[in-house]
This record gives sequence, C-alpha cells and structure tokens, in this order.
Amino acid sequence: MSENFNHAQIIKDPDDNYKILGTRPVRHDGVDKVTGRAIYGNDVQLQGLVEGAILRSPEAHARILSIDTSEAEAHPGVLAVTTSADFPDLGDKIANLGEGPVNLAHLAANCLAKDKVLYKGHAVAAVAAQNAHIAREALDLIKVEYEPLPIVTDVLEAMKDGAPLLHEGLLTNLVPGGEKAEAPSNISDHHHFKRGDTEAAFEAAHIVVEREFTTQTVHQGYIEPHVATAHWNQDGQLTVWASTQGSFSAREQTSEVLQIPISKVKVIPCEIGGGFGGKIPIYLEPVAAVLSRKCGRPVKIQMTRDGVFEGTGPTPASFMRIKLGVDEAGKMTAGEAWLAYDTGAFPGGVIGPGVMCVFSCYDIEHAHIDGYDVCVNKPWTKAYRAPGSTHVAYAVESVVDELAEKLEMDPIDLRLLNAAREGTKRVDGPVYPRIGLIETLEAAKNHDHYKSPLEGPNRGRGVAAGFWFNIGLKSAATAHVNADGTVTLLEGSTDIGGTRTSISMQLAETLGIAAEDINPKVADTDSVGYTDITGGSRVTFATGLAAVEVGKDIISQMKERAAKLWECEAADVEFSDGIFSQGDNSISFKELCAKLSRTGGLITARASVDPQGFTNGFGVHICDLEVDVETGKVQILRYTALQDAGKAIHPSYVEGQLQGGSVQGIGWALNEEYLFDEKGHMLNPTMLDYRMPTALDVPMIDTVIIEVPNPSHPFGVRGVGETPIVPPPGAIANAVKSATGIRMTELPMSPPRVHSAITEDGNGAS
Amino acid sequence: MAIVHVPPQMQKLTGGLTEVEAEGDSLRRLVSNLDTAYPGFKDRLIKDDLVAPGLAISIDNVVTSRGIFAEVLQDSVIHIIPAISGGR
Repeated sequence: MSENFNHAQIIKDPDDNYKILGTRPVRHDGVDKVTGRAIYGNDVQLQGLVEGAILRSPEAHARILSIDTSEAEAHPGVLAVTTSADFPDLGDKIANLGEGPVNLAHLAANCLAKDKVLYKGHAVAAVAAQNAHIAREALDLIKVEYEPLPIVTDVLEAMKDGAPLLHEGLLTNLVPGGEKAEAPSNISDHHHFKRGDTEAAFEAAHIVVEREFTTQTVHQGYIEPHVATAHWNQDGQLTVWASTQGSFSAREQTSEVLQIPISKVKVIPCEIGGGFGGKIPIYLEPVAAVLSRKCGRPVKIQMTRDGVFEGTGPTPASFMRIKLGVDEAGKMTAGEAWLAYDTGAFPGGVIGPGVMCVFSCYDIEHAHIDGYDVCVNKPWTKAYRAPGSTHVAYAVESVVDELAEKLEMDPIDLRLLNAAREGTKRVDGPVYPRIGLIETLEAAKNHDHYKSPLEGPNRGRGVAAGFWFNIGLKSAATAHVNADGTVTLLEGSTDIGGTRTSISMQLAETLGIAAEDINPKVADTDSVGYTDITGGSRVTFATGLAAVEVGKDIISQMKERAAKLWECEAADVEFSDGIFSQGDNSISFKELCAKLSRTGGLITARASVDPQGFTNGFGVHICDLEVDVETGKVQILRYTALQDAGKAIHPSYVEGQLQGGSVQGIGWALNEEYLFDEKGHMLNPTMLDYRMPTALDVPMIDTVIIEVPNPSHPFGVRGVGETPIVPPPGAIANAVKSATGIRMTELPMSPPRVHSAITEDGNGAS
Repeated sequence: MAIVHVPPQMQKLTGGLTEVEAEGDSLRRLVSNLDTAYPGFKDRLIKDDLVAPGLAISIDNVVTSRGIFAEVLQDSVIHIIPAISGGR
C-alpha cells in the first residue's frame, strides 16, 4: 500500500539556494562497499597473524579465587595466554576520554575481570593461537575457580536495602554537584531537578494522569561483531586495526588501560558494520595488544555473536513513573518523573540524558525529576542511539496521549499547545535556541498520513514526539589540492551513515566544485588531526564544519596564487561559485589548480574545530497498525517519520537515518529484549532468538525532512542520526491503545504481552 | 556578573539559594570565586582540573567542551547539568 506515498518530502528553508547541498551524489565509498573490496575489521590480514579467543564467565556474580592457565599455555599451537594480571594496576584513576571522564579501573576490568565477575559473559582470560579453532580449544583448558555470589538483575530489586552489592564501596553520587551518600548501595547516581511548586500545581490541575512503565534490556544489534587486531612491535609501537566509532577514542582508551604513552599507539579505523553507540567503548583492543606483546605476532580477536550480546554494552532496562497535569485548556502545568535505569555491571549509565530528555518536548512550569543509575548483574550498559531518551519518550508520550483522550483533544493539537520552542527553558535549566518542534508537529498534522482515514477492526493510529540534544566536540580535516582540480580530503570520522560524502559536499559547496571532485579518506590517528567519536549526531555538523574551514583556507591560498598571475593584491581577488576574479580577469578553480605548481607549488590546507553551536533535533512519528487479537501480534501498516533536520546535506542519507532509526525503535517497541533465567544467564544470545525486525516486518518508512536551519552552522546543519529512534515506542503504544483500548505499559509489546493484556491477566492497563 | 543556577543537590552550599552571582572570565576563575563565597563549590564541580565525572556545564545554553578554560562573559548564565555520555 505504500506506493502511493511520497517517500522523500522535504520542507525547505525559503532562503536555501545551495548548488551542491541538497543534491544526491553517489557515495564516494559506494563501489568498494558493493563490490566487497572495503576493508572491515575481519578483512585485516598481516604477515604472521594469529587469532585470539576470549574466555567468558559462566557466573553472573562471583569472586575469582584463582585462574590456572598452565594447561592452556602448554597446548600445541597456543602462543600466549593473558588475564587481568597482565594489565597495570589503575587504582581509581579517572581519565578524560573525549566524551567525558572515565574510571579506568572499570574500563579495564570490563575488558578482563579482576577480582570479581559481575555478569554472565564477563571476559576473564584470552588465548592467542595459530588459528581460532586452537584458541577456542585452549579456552577449555583454563581453570577458573569461582566463589558464586547472590545476583540481582532487576533494577528495583537492586535498589532495595539488603540487595546483593556488586561494588562493596559504591557510594551514590548526588547529581548534579551533590555529595556522596554515606552507605554503600548499587545506586551509582541519583539525579534530581526541581522547578516551581509541583505539589500545588498538581492540586490545581484539571486532569492528572500518572502511570508506571517498564522497558527491558535492548542491544544495538549491529551486524558486524566487534573485532580488533593488534601488533605490538619490538620497538614498542602498538598498531591497532579496529571496528570503532572513534579511532582517537580507541587510541586514548587503549593507551590509558595499558598505561603506555599515547604516541606509542596508532589506531587504524576499518570500515564499520554498524555501531549505534556500541562501538565507542573498547573491549578487545588492549587484550589483543597484550597477547601480541607476549607472543611477538599480530593478534586478531573477533567476538562471536553470543559474545557480542553477553559481553558488550546494550541499553538499560528501566522502571519509570510519570505524572502530568493539565489545566482545562490542555496546558501542561505540572510534571513529575521518577526514573530508574539499570547501568549493568559498572557505574556510569545513561540516566543523565534520561533526566534531561524526559520533559524536553514540552514547556512545563512546575516539574520535579528524580533519576537513578543502578548497578545490576548484567552487561555494562553503553550508548544506543539517543541514549536514555527513547525510554522516557515512550513513557511521557503515552501519558500525553492519555491526557489528549481525557481532554477530547487531537493529540497533535495538545502537543502543539505545549510544545517547546525558542526561548523555552528546559527543566534542567538551559533555554532552547531556534528549534523546529512546532514546524515538525504542524507538518505531521498536515500530512496525508494523518489526514487519511484508518478503517477496519483492531486497527489504530498513534503519534509521538521525540528529542535529542546533538553534540559538537572536536574534529579536524586536511586537504591537498591536486593539479587536475580535485581535492583529496583526509578526515578522522568513522563513516557509518555516509559522512564521507556529507562532509565532502560541504567542502565542494565552499569551493564551488562538484562533490565528485572531492576524494575523501578516513585517516588513521597518525595521519589526521584529533577527531572525536562518530556519535552524538555530530559528524556532519562538526567534521563538516572542519571541511568548510579547510575550504576557506584553500580559497585564501588560491587567491594569493591568482594575485600572482594577475600581478595584483590578493585582497583584490574575489571568489564566487568556483570562479576567482579581479577586474576583467577570471579563472575557474580547476584552471587555477593547473597553475599551482608554477606559482609556488600545490596547496595543502587544514583545520581543527571545537564548535559550540550545536543544537537540538525533534521528531514526530505517525504509526498505523493492526493487532491480531488472537495472537497479540502487531503489524505495522503505515509509518511516517518527520524531523527537523536543519539543512539536509544529502537528503538520501537523512532519509536513511530516519528510516533506520524508526526501524530500530519499532524493534525495541515490539520484540527486542534480553531474556534472563534465574541465574542471570541470557536465554536468547543469537540473532534467531533475539528478534530484530527484518524487511518483512515493516512497511516502507515514509519520511518528511523539515529544514529549520541551525543558525550557528554556516549551512544550517543540526545533526540527524539519533532522534529517529526516540518516538517509535510511544507512537506504537498509542496506536495499540487506539486499536485495542489497552494501554501497554511494558516494552516490548511482543505477542505474548499484548495477548496477555488483551485477555486481562497481564501487564497492560486499560 | 554571571548568574549561576544552583541545582537542588548543591543548594545546601548556598543556604538554599537557587541562583547566585559570581565574577570570572573563565570557568576556572568563576568556580574559584564561587568557592570563596560558598565553600565546597569547587570540590563538587572540579576534579583534577576537569569538570567532575558525570557533570557538564552549560554556559549561555551551550554545553561547553572546554572545561575549566571555557570563556564566561559578564552576563553569562551558567547551568550545572548531567553529562551527555553514553556510559563512561
């Protein structure tokens, strides 16, 4: 039924008159990707390469009494065995690793457990051998003596007095800026924000809705498992080939865990088969490095799929209580949120963004937020696309939908009445700059999807909004201008979503040349300036800005060359649309490139930026679905994702982000969850049993890009990639309510849960 | 003078004040002056010359990545908020 829809609607800024930006050139890495020539982590082949394997804990919580590796070391074909005893003692050292300070002892102990294992699948030891088969055989010869300890995997249970403690000395941080608690617990952080008088505001409210919600642990589900190859050379130089979202971050983390100078580590980023936040932390790199140091050979370790599920960082399970009050006109007057996210085995989860995102779409005068990060015996949670925001959007958007129903208001009208806009103050303090939530809601209301009737039994429509901050951070780029008029661009951002091209297009627009005349390369840490991670929806914004600055430098240098040709002052040379001119003289960019070698040599330009003008993204999604009341299965019939993207540099990639994020959110909403037994063992660590959506499960995702430019970027770029995962669970829950009359308060809304709710003995609340 | 919004968890230090004024053309100087007026502020915000783990500083509605060296203007508005990081 989707063939009649418009899949590529763009609502443009009226002042937009770009020549390159907004077009859809073929991606620069396209041929290598479709022919299989692109080098991914597992494609790395080196002289003398050997393979490694990781021994993982069978216990979810246990003290390690001893590890005997002697039999494994004596096994034919084994070249080295390592445990955490080979890592330096890091004490309580904190290091600033790009996105923020990191407790190095936790980072190292997650790569190889030290005194305790904290979750089933926790890495304990590793082997390097002549091949992967021998390495895996040798794992069985390592004898680990465990003293099992009581486990806790539920976030609310872990908060109770008397719960098994994962870290005996963990004292709760009161955030932001508070003291530490006096008694140890599993609660690593308690965030608290308060504005106005919520008690009085709820008392005066016309309608108050309060609900509790739960979500389960969900993995990013990247197709390519983690893989790293390390070669510790005899001169002390360590080279790492990695599937990473940030080569510089991987270099810093590896250098800090191993306590070796950063100048001794080079990270070569490979192509990446998905990351979504999960490939920011290191897992294998220091382990492969130590094995390489021990055996004198390059060592490659690739995770198995169950290793990925059990040993890397998913997004947390959560419990949330949301309370909202409105006046008779529907104006939100009071909000209260109590949030508990499990952070997994170590402190430092994503409750921080959660508490800031919870009411971020709305202007609420009186609000009170408490959020808790709680350690449990599960893998250490990590970023997953808009970390922390999807959870709270599911809960809040469900309550907003219920308010609209009680007010007998159109749900988009209720959101429009309360929507955050320029000047709205978030509950945590900051005031919004120019944002596009209003425009996005209006586009949703006017969209054919929203205006079309939905008929048939057990069918329903839902809408939801979502927010993500987007970030800036540091980026660098270097360009070499070639005599044939092309430009070679070196940048350090791992290309996950087509950023080679979106960055190149910004340089091309600046220089007035074709995008195809830019030849972008993602360079290693020795070959380009410091660049932060590919994450936070930052790359097209920040690395794009570095490319713009490079372009300005090139133009400035080329004006001097033109001035030499014309025997005039460089200040008198003008540049517009790829043409240099002065009086009656003019020369194109390409023609001038051919004369560079005779006017001083070819040109190199570089830029390093730390932009502060990043700004937020808002999305609104509309979902039609049908519920099979016999089985509880939910079928998505039609889905539209609308988003304020700022300027869409390459609209196809923006649409791809909207579609990909939506599908991940649909999977989170309907099927995905870690299932654990009573011992804390994950029951479904395979792609067969961990049910991610396939192309057969979802319709074409219709997209609408609303271009509200970011005034702090020369081309208006905002950042796109994370926001689209935020609204789907809320939109789907609201559609299920519309279809069945049942308010689903637990994710995922899988067939058993929906069926159970329909038959009134389950978790839904009508 | 810059205005610093004091989050609830720090209001014990300011005797319950939700916002205070402070001088300083950098975050380092501003926090140092705050610490003189409200002892304990620096310990809570800065660890080893870095913004404390889990925290971020918003200056004029932009979360700064420049830590204690971030520029503060005479009329800047400062918020102390959680860090946006995906696990640390």
